[in-house]
Amino acid sequence: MGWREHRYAPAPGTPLCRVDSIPIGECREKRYGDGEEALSLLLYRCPLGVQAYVNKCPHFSLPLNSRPETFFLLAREEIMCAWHCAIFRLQDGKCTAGPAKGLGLERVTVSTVDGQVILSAGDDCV
Amino acid sequence: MSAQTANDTTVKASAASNRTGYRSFTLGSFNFSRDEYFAHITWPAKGQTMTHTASADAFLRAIMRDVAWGFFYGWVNLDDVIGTRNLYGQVELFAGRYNPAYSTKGLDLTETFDTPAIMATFKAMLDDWTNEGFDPFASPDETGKSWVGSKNGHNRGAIDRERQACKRMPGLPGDAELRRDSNGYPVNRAFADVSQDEPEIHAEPGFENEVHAMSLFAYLSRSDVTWNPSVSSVCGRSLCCPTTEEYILPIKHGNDRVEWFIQLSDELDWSIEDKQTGALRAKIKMKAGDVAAMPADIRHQGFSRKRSMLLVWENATPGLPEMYETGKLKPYPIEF
Repeated sequence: MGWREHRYAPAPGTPLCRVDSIPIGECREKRYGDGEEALSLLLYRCPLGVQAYVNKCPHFSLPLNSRPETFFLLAREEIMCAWHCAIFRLQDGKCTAGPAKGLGLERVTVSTVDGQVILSAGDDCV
Repeated sequence: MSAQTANDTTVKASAASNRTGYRSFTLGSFNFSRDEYFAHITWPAKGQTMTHTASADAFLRAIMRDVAWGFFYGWVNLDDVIGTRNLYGQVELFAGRYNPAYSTKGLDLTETFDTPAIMATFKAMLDDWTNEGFDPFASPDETGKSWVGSKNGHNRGAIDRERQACKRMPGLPGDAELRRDSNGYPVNRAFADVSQDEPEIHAEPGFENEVHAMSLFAYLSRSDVTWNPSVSSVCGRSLCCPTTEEYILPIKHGNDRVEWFIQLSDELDWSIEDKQTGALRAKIKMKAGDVAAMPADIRHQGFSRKRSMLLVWENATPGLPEMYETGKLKPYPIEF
């Protein structure tokens, strides 16, 4: 099941946040729904814009963070899952090391309009 | 709390020793070094330097699991003295904390590191100390003695091998392949008698592409690692990890939740100890078909005189460790 079939998935066109609310080089979490069933999105701001993924490690399907809004960012634009140390490239979501190597984060297509990060209707590619 | 900026993963390592060729590593107050036979760990306590020595092969097998499992769930005791505890974002490195001979005299030390920092050091140590030809995932009978002696090359192919991850089931299009001779997974010498037949699938018309089956025994008979999941099945928060085991589990695992074992073939002996003190609590012999629930307040170590198949089931629900630590959940699943 892709993230768009998630019961709490926001509709295309939904504004997620302001771009400038995320410092360059950092991540933010955006949650939709409540409790364990919530959909958690990971937003990463790089110098060229914002990348978005479903905040779920493909190793054991847990969020990449074990504490709210605390992400382990590494050099070279990578993020490490807090649970069992899988490392993902933030530019394309690919796992480069650790127990999910060969897999990737599920991409969420977003665009930037008037300083807002907007959920796109376009295809999401892994 | 805001998201963190790039973490420091600088590894503090010495130059290669002129005598042995191995580098030494420093992590906080701990120092790690190795020589021809042994790994040496030191830490400060009560104004003196404590020393601990482990056979290098055992230490490498243990570190290999801690790295491959990403510090796993709870405690990974590398032996009776040294180990790690996963705090999920941070990791405790301890010496003597769960060994009364040290802890009751104040000679233990525990330091906490951000996970990326300790992982980088452990990976560097594993890379430097593993000689060509030594596979820390293999049984002693399969990998020989190249771990002995001064530094001799690397075995990155073994220590960096990818775990097979599966989204649905091996053999489905786009998912992990079934194991065959042709893709590098020969039947292990211990499982020559395991049938390699795959299930027959007779789907009703219209359902041909919606039914799949595989032989787990055949799949596991071709596992090239010991004491490490062959593949993981993730269904919600339920994690099923079938493994093959031979010789000794290189670590003593102290779980922060109940862990279920189902013995699929042959036999395994388990030594069950109190998680805090190491006091022996039970010994268990599991035979094919036996099921055991390892309580959340013990550490366990397995012994398999012949390669055997074991299904490990973990509950990955976040927040479980706190529920056990606060007494909200009892450390065992049933009352007798």
